[in-house]
Amino acid sequence: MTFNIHQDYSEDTGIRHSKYSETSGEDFYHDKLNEIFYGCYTRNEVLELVLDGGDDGYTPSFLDESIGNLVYDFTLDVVKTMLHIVSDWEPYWIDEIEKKTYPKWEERRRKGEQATITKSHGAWYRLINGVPEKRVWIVYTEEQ
Amino acid sequence: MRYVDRYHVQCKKQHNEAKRRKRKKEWLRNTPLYIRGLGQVSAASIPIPEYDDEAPVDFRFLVNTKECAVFFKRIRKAGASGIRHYRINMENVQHIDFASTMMLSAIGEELLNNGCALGGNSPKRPECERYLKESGFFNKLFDQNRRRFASSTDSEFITVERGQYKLTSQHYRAFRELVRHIKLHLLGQTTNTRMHNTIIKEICANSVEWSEADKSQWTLGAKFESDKVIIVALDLGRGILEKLFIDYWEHLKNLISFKTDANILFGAFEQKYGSTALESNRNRGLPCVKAAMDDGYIKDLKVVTNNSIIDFLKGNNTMFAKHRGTFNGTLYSWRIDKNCIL
Repeated sequence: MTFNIHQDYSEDTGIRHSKYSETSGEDFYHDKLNEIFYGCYTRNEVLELVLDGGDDGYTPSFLDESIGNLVYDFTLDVVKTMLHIVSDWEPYWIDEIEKKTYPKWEERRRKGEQATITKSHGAWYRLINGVPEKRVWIVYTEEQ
Repeated sequence: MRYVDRYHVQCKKQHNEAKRRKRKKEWLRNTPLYIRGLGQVSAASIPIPEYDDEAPVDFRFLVNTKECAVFFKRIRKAGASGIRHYRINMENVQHIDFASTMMLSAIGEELLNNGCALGGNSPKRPECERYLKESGFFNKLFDQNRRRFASSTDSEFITVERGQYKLTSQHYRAFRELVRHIKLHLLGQTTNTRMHNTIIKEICANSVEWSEADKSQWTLGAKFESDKVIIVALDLGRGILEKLFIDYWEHLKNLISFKTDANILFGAFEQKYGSTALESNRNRGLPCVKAAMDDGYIKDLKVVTNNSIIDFLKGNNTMFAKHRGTFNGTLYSWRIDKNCIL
């Protein structure tokens, strides 16, 4: 399955968290990416995530938050196998994701350091002992 | 009390009273009337200052950083004290840069939010006055006859309005338009704008998320010159150094190796430290901005915050003041010309 962020999600992308920008990495993950990746996982199909398209540039924080959350919820091994990132216009994003995002978020997952959310989201999928489970894993409170 | 002692006490009181009256007469003779609070005097005898402050002669924030930072701090302090007007004398300014004009504009906005009007005069030197006009400093201002100054077409500003705490799609569109204008100005055509959009978004994102500026306000401006475009992005928050998270061991290492605040600031651009979010994957924005400079997308990047200034072109990082509170805010300045990757 192919998913192009600019065409299938938004022409403009923001920064890391919903509190500080519209169409943030946090929004993208919870509104689209988690569901789509779950679908591909159950069908045993590779998700091709296309970063090319449009004039709007990504921020490293947007990509880190959205793909990082995927690593946290589905583990690094699963994401490396089932996610293929296409970025022909800006190949450095692939380097950034593989060398920085993947290891940092896998480390967070192993330590159990929950992701930060800045607004309430609906239930999302997470792998628990290899089985996907859908619920609200982090409850948003104002103090966060 | 015996009669004799009471007599002595009374004499002493009268003596002190006489001394007090003599001192008062002398004070009244020597003190000017306006200090005593009396208004009925001629204008010639009262030296009422026309301006509250004077701008530095070398009013280039990126060159004469300390003097300009102290000047801006004085204005901001006065504005926060509840006064209604603050007038600055710029008559003697001999040199000026875009960073200073942007700072003055942003501080004017901040003072307005506090109910204080910032005013003043123009430099006598024609080059400086012309520079102020071309930089768009007068765009939203009024002259003494309450007429708006003509807008400059040589500059473009994007300012977050009061009350807006987050970046919206309107801002993203404004960034894209600004970068398109820059490329049109330099190349005569619009090519891809992605990397330059990324830089602007990351810088503004840092201001919105971390600066703790009033209402998360930040300002972005571009000055179009014949062969280049100068861009300045700034916020009037707490500054990068105040928002960096340096763990205990790193702090100890810094102390042992006598690292200055300027060295620490440079380290933030190399992802040596975390942010106060305490998440190990953070602090990606500043290294991204540095990488854009290293790769040739932008040139002459300078960052001023707290008490330090980094000049990435010359590879200098210096402290211009001892205390971090000297400049509460962060200012990025860079330029794009035809030799950059466009």
